[in-house]
Amino acid sequence: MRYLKLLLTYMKVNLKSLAIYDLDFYFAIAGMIIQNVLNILALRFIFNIVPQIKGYSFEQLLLTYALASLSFAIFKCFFINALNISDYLHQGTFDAILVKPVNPLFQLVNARVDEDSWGDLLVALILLIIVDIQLQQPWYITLMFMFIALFTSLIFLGLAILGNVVSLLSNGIADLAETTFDFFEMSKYPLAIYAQALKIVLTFVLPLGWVASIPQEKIAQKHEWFWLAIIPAVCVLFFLLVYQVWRLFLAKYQSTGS
Amino acid sequence: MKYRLTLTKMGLKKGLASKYALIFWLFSALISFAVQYFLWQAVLVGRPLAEFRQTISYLVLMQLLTTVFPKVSYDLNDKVRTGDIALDLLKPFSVEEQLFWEGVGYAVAKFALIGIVEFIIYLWLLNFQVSLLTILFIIVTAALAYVLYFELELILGTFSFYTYSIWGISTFKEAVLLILAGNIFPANFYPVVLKAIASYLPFEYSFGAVGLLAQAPTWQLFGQVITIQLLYILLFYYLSRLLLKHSITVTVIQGG
Repeated sequence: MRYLKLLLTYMKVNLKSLAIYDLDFYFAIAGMIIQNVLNILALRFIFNIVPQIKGYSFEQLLLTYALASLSFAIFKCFFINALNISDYLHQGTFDAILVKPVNPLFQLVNARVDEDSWGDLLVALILLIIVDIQLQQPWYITLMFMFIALFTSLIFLGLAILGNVVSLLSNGIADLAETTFDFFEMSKYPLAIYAQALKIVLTFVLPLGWVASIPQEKIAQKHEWFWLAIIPAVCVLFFLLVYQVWRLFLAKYQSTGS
Repeated sequence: MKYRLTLTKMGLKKGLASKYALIFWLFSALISFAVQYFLWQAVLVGRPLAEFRQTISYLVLMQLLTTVFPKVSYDLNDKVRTGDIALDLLKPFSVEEQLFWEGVGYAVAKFALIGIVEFIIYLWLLNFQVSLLTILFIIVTAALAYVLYFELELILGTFSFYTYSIWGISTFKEAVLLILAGNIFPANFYPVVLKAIASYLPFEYSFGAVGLLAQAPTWQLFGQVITIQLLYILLFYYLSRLLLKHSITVTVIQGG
């Protein structure tokens, strides 16, 4: 209950922060929408060269793209500050977070939201609905995908936190969190395009296959509903594992003082 | 000349000081390379291996340029937000010169730590069979592309004098570059209309034109590319100075 109250307070403060850079905010929203549209256009250009990629049609590949984008947009909207932990370490403000009687990761994640990413979220949602209609999927599959995306965004959060473990070790000098953006690029395509070894890594080590490729195959193509429980469970499990690693390294963190 | 060299050294030291960050940037570039590699392998399946190698080497070259090219708009934005611009304006040389020469030093550091690996991958993809003339063409056009991109970034950076944040406008720029510069998607796969539009705009001459020249290195194309690059550099040079001159007059620094 206390954390819920805190979350609401954080949200209020974050919403107020929108007013600071109002003009730039609109530019960002428009830019992100255009970026998404152009990404789709680029995908279309690829299908001008070939009719199918590893058995995937344009619409099917677009569905993978939409699922990954929706998941990443949720991550960006709510968890983006997980990418900035090295900045806190750099500036020496991390210690202030540690002395407060609230979970440090909760504070870090909620200290800032990426208001610009609402454009991404909107495009991903619209795209998902359009592609599902084009693929003649029943409406409840679209809802299932939205439900799953809430959990798959935890995979990106987990990867960002893993990247920050390097920051903890190096006192903010090195930072791998930004590679979350590259991992998103990886998740935008079906596992089928990757080499066998990489497929195994993307399923069992860095679970990016669970973001879009596996949900698409198991739910949209095979209609195996029990994956609706397995996919969220895998996402939560991965996040909890990463959280334990984070706690382990946090306990070993040594402040630079000052 | 001496102060330019000093600024370049400063940029170089700044880059080497954050070498760990740059090495992780390399890690990021390698992930991106892996995605492009497997995607294009799947797209060009059944086609001649040479076509795949040409396409992926083009994308690696674009990645190399993206790595090395300056992010001046963010630097200028930081200076405006923190108020450091006031100190820079007091120095006996212009803000744009400071940014340019520091940026050159930083780019050298980035090339030494990341770019060189990307360049080796580029050569490896082409079986190390790249003529010296092609490398010369790439170096000259990439240097001019760097200057052109710097001018574009500088123009973009002037927005921060009015909006105090550059993130949104930069996102806008990324969107434009995505389709018109040919740095994410190989320009020779564009539909005819888009190819024609892109060939008139400056963005392609910051990225895609270098890659296209590397694929078809003829003196005629080289002459055409550098002429257009020089014209755009000249145009944007005056435009950016004009905008910067005007923007500086609206800046208010809250003491310090």
